[in-house]
Parts: sequence; C-alpha cells; structure tokens
Amino acid sequence: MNKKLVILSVFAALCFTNLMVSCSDDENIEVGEADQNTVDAVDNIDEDAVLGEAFTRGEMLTNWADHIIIPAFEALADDMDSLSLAANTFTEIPNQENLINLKQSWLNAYLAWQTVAMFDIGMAEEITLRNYMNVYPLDAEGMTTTLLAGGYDLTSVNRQDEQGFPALDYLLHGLANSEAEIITFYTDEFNGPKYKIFLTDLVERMRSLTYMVLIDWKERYREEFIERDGSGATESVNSMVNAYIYYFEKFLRSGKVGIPAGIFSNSPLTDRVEARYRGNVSKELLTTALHATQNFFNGLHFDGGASGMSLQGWIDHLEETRDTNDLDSLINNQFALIHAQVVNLNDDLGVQVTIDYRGMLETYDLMQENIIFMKVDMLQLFDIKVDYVDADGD
Amino acid sequence: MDSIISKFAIVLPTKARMSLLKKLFLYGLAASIIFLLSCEEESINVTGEVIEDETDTENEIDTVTLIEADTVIFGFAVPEKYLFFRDADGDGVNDTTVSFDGQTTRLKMAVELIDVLKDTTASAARLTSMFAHEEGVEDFLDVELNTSSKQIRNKIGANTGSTVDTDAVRTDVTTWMTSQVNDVFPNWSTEASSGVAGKIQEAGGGANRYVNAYGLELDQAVSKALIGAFVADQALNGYLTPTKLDGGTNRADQSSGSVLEGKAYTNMEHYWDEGYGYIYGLAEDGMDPVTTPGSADKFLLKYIEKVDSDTDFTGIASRIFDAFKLGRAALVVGDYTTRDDAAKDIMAEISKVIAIRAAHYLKAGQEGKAEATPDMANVFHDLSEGYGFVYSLQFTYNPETGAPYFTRAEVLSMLDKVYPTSDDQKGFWEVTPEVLEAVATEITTAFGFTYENA
Repeated sequence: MNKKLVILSVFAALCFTNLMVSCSDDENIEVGEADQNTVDAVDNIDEDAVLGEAFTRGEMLTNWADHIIIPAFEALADDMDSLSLAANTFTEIPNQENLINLKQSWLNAYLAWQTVAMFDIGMAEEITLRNYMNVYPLDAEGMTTTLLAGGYDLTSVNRQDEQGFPALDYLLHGLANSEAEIITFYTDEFNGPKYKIFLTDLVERMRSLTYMVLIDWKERYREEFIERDGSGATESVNSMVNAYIYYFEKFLRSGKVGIPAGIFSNSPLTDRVEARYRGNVSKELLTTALHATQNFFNGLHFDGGASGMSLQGWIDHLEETRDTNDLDSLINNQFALIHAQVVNLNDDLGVQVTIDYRGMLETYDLMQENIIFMKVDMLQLFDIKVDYVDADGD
Repeated sequence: MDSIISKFAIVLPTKARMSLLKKLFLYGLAASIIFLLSCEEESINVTGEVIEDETDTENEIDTVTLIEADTVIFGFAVPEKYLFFRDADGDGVNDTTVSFDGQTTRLKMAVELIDVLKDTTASAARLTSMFAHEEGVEDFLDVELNTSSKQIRNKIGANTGSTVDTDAVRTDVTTWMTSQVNDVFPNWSTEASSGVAGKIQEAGGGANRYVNAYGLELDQAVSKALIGAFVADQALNGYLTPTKLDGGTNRADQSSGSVLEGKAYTNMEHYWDEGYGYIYGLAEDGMDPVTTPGSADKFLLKYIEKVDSDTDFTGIASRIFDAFKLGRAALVVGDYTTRDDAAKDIMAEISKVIAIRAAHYLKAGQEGKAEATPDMANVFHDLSEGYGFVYSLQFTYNPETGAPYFTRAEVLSMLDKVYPTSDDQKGFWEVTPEVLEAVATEITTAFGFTYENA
C-alpha cells in the first residue's frame, strides 16, 4: 500500500468520525440529560434510609388506602344501596315520582363512580370492575334483545356493553322522550315485567360487584397493598401509579373528551359522550372525575378534611435535593387550566361537540399536557416504568 | 485483466459538507458498504469507485476517482426514489423501466378475498373462485380485477420445498377458507365457548371476534399466512433469487440492453420489480414508500411499517427499501455481486419482520392469558394473527444457510404447540402462557432478538 493511500484512508476515516460525532451531538443532548435524571432518581429511591424520615412508600400507600380509596368505595357502596332501594320502589310502583327519585339515585351513584374509577387494582382489576360498570357507548340494540329474551348471563364478556351505568342511563332516560312514555315500558302488560327484572338485575349486579371490591379492600387487600411497598414493577406504588395515569389517559382524556370531540375519527361523535341519554350531566361527570384525580395526586382525604403523603409530596421530597423545576406545581397548575377550560363547556358535552367541538379539542390538549408532565417527567423522577402499551388497533 | 470493483454508495448531509466531500477520497476496503448518515434532511448521493489491479504485486491503485451523482463516469448512482429510466424507443425521451401492475392486481385480489372471509353470505365456492380467479369470471367488486388473467392460488407457496409442500400449502389455505364458511358462518351469532365456534366480544364493549371451535379466527389465519406463502415467498424465494434473475438469456440481454418487446425494461429488471411490487404494490407512493408511509396494504408492507414504528426495530423499513433501490441500480449496470448482496439483505430483513410479528403476537397472547381475568376475544385475535405469522415462517429465507429459518415441519410442530387440537385439546382455549412464551422464544432466538423486544 503506498503512502498516499494511507493518508487518504486516514483522512476519510477522520471525516466519517467527525460526521458521526456531529450527528449524535446534535440529536442526543436531551437523551443524555434524561438518562442523568434517571440515574439520580434511582440513587434517591434505592436509599430507603435516606428517605426514611421524610418519605416512605408505606406511608403513601396507607394514606391512599385508608383515607382515599376505601372511603371512596364506601361512598359508592352507600349510593348503590340507595340506588337499589330506589329501583325496587320504582319497579313496585312505576310512577313519575319514583322514576325521578330513581334518576337522582342513579346520578348520585354515577358521580360516586367517578371517584373510584381510577382504582383499577386488586379485586377491581381482577374482576375488571370497570368493564361491568361503565362501558359506553351502550349497545342499546343488543341490550334490548338480551332483556326481551331473558335468561341472560351478565357475567359474559359479550354483555359488558349492555349493562352498568350506561344501560341504566338508557333504561331511565332513553326509552322514550317523556317520563310518562318511559314509564309505560315498565307498566306494559307483556314486556313490563322483563324491563323491571332487567333493571333490578343490573342494579343488584353493580351493587354486589361494588361490595365485592369494598369488602376485599377491607378484609384482605388493604394489608397486601400496604405491605407491597417496594420499588419493583409489580409492587403497589408502581401498579397504582400506572393505573392512575392509564385511567387519566384512556378514560378521562380519550373516553370523556377525545373520542366525542372526534380526535380519533373523521368528525365529532355526539353519541360517544358519557350519559348520552340523560344528556345534561356529562360535564358534571367529567368535572367530578377531574377533581378526583387531582385530589388523589395531592393526597387529599376523601372527606376533604386533611391530606397525607401523596405523589405531590413525593415529587416535593425528591426535588428538595436537586434543582429541577417545580413539577408538582406544574401539574397542579395544569389541573387548574383544565378546570378553567371545562367550566366554559356546555353541561351536555354532546351539545358542546355539536356547537363547538374545538372547545373539547382545547380541553383535550390541556389534559394531554398534564399527561406529559405525569407520564414522562413524573415517572422519570420516580423511576417508574410505564407498564402498558397502546393497542394495535386492528 | 481482472479487476475488483468496489463501491461506496454514500448518503451524506449536504449542509456544510460539500467542500469536504469534494476533497474526500475513498479507498475500497469491502465489496459493498453503505454508510447511511442521514441526520439532516437534505442529502445527496455520491458514488465512489476504485478500480484495483490485482495483477499488481505492489497492490497499488491505478485509479482513484470520486464521482458525484450527476457526473457518473464509473459505477452507478442510487436514486432517492424507486425511479429508473431508459430511452427504450429511441425518441430522445426517457421511459420508466419500472412496472409491477401484476403484483398490485394480485394484492388487490387478496385484499378483497380477506374482506369476503367475513361476509356470511359468501359460499365456499365463491371464495374458491376468488382464490383461483379465471379471466372474465366476476369474482371481485373491482371490475378491473375480473378482467385480469392473474390469480392468487397459483402464486401460493410456489417456490418453497417440494411440489408436495406447495400442494399442502394450497390445501391449508383452502381448508381454512372452507371451514370459515362451513363452521364459523353458521355460528355467527352463537356465543363461542371452548369447543364451540361463534362470536366472542373483546372486554369493555370491544370488537366482536368470530372464531372456530378452537378459538382461531380463520380469516386471520388466511390473511397472515398469505404474508409468507404469497408475498414473501414470491419475492424472497422467487423473483430476487439469482436463479430467477439470471434465467435464460437474462444476463446477455441485460448487457446488450435488450428490452422486452413493446416494453422499456429488460427481463431481469422486470423480475426485480415484480419482487418489489409484492411488497410495495399497494403503497400510497410506490416509488417512495418510506418517506410517504401508509397504504391500502393488509399484508407485508403494513407490518413492515408496524415493526418500523417499534423503537426496538426502527430503520428496518428504510433498510429494506434502500436495498431494493441499491440492488436495482446495481443490476442495471451488471454489478451482480452488489445486486445479490442487496437481495440477501432484503431476504434477511423481511424474514425478520415476519419473525418479529410472530413472536409479538404470541407474546401478546401470553400476557393476555396471564391476566387474572383474561380478555379471551383479545387473546384469540392476537393468537390468530400469530398463528398466520408463525405459518409464514416456512417461507422466510436465511441467506447464511440458504434455507428458511424454520422448515415447514418445524413450523407445523410449533403450531401444534400454540394451537393444540390432538387428544381432544381445545386449541387457543387451552394453550398455556408458558407454552406461548417458549415458542415465541424459539423464534426470537433463531433471529437474534429478545422476547422483551418482540
């Protein structure tokens, strides 16, 4: 090999090296910093002794279980008792007064549901409570066929979109335009008994599932939940935080706002709003759910009286030892921005998407920003990995 | 005098690099190395070539030349898009030499066939007729397909193993289609359970899935098996092989530029493009499918894009497309070493796409089955797609061994594990997460990626 060639080769090699370096320099700065944060977070978290005085996972888990989750399920159970009573009263005497009472009980329980929907963990996860309580849109046609045929199996996965709050919504508000006409479905000589039985069956199933989860929390799962206070992927904190963010992303952001706004379709879908047959309560359901998620973030007790160790407190603790941004304030400020936007929406989100779907898009965007704060920044700080992936879509 | 021609097709960022490039000399160290440093949007292609005289004991270089794309003297340029031309009719205007209409037609036929597999009014005879279409028969909604002489059946499993195997593959697909009509269509509104065909809904009010008595969606089995038996087999085991490309007088015709009568392309060019067409025939932009993703494709291209969107495998779509371009450009100038190396890259990468999806769906099924309350419809859907992808593995091609990564016998053995039906077992209803993970791991190991990444 002659001398000239050697020089050329070396020169070429240097050029390539230079190109590669400049390439990665340009693109990888953020990744580098992110890695550094992760390393720091690991260091902080793994040294329980250091954290012991100011923060423990056990303290946070205890606060969640005793002051937020169990009280929220107790409140739902109480509302389920009232709903059951109102349903029985109505089926005994199907008149307007009893229908109005039943509707109110339904709404109370539906609002209570918004405070537990994010707790898809333990027995609720095991029995997939959410899939039997609040799958919408309802398959109204399928439900009617099932109801009239009788002999149905409400535990079947095929019936999940024919029961729960959305089915009651239809049975109480959607059968006809007026209350008087709706009542005739229950007083009808031939089909009336079927409607009554189906209504009662739905309510009793929702009530018994609620109690199944509540009793499991009190008698078994609370202990396990608090004992599993490690930092591993299957320990309680990681599971609960993942369930929380998944709920916020999929059910709050997409389910209540994004899908009706038409984000995932070619046009807005008014029939995809929650409580579509009742109509004017979808914003209230959304607001209640938003408050519940923010209160959980801040560790506010369910009775609203005080607060305990929380995600907010954990962020605060971790940020004491470093000069990162005020992430907990960013998240709370973002919640405030979302609330400020939601206030302006129509009480019926179905009407809102019809008259101005952009208001819903803006709500969605604000929620999406908070998902970035929580799913990216917060999880990085906590060194928690996202344990779910988006579905394939086909 | 024998010469070794070594080429570098280099894509370099333009900005601030031009002056550097002009000084850049290249020394050939390996036969065909492609450096892709596409960290900026703008880029140019530069082809450098070194001719080395082997008879020179001093191993000195006779010629060192840098050629920019628009001033090619030696070697060849690789275009950014899949665009190739020659002035075939001598009218002074360049004619495109790329054509794969036949592949687009067959892919469209296959898409319609898959749709009709969920049309409960369809008879087995209708499906069979669509599958083995004869010119003029009104099999398709798209009337242009009806007048075509092309069909799907005679291209299925045509290049793999023996004629016995080919016949077996065609029988498999026909059996699935017939069973869909005879066993699943009549139970369209029956609720499926172990040993009972019917519909089953995904949890949370999700999609209805229509399965046979063993939990298999037969339309998915057909659709995903075609990815291997039809698309990959035709391209990897057919058109892109030296046997096919160099058949007859193809090399002589290529040297002399003898085009087919009435066409602008040579036989060899067309064969390569037909291989290309099986992948990209339904792409939104068939000449630029990576820059412009999206397609009406339901077969291989759809899953190349899906795999590419997984950060563990990003770049695979570009590698496949770039190898198609490189091989095509090399072929035009008679550089068959580069052509065949590019073909091997395509074979390896496309085989890997099939393997990744096979493992991916088995893993999804494993995770679903491991849930406290498995969402069986969702599990069945994943496993049914997985079934077809595993089936497709017998049509892969490993350039290092010259054989498929898994033989038909090995594939059938894996399917017996994930879909056990002997001794009164109920297929997907009964398969355990452990078995699914074991089979998926067998696949990932053979291809050198991990179960976690699948």
